[in-house]
Amino acid sequence: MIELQKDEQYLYTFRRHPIVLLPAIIILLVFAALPFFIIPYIPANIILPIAGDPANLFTFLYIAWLTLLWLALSIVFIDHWLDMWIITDKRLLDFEQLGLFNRETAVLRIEQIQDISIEVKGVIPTFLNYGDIHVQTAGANKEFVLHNINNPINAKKILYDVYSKKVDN
Amino acid sequence: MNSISLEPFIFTIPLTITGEVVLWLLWLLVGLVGLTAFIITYHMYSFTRSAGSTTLLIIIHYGISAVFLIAATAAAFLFGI
Repeated sequence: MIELQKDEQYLYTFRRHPIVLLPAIIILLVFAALPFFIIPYIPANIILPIAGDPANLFTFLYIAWLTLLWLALSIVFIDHWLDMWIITDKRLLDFEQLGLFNRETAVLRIEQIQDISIEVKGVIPTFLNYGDIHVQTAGANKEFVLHNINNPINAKKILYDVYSKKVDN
Repeated sequence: MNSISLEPFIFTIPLTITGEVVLWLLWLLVGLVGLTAFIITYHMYSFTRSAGSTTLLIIIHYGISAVFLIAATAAAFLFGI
């Protein structure tokens, strides 16, 4: 759970660009079509003891398969949604969901920031405006990286503004 | 020329797929949908403490899952549960 200090003010949340979900969606769509490619290769000598219409059984199993893929997509989405950076006027909180029951949290005080850089590499990231943001720190964790962040130039500006205000005060 | 017969490899699955088996699979599916909804609720609410976004996500999750479950139930009925 995100707990802010008493005099701490929430400012911004950075998340990954939704396009990063696309590979997972494509894989799930391939899995959704998979039964139609596998069925022709099932050997004819397998005798299936089915007490009913096999077509209806196949329909049921296929819908069950789609339901499982939908559940997998829900979990992929949760994993995506809970990966975030939260910027407050005092800290940068890095939450990384590495699986359903595996979460890493790192906290960086704003005044520990030494350098902020962004990296937008490739045609698609350039056109869709997403990339990596690297924050060099003076702490034990030498570098904070958020991959595939939405609008990294704006994120860098916000971080720099917060840092400037903090240092000036 | 020698030929290999596939006769020994012909096998049958020991379990007959009856309506009862399909009904168990359907219950399993319902259970998985419920379990996933619980996990989503737990993660979203324990992390964000936002009842609104958690409720929205659960409504979407249950809404789409319900479509699949209704279709699966219809297919199961056609099969003969």
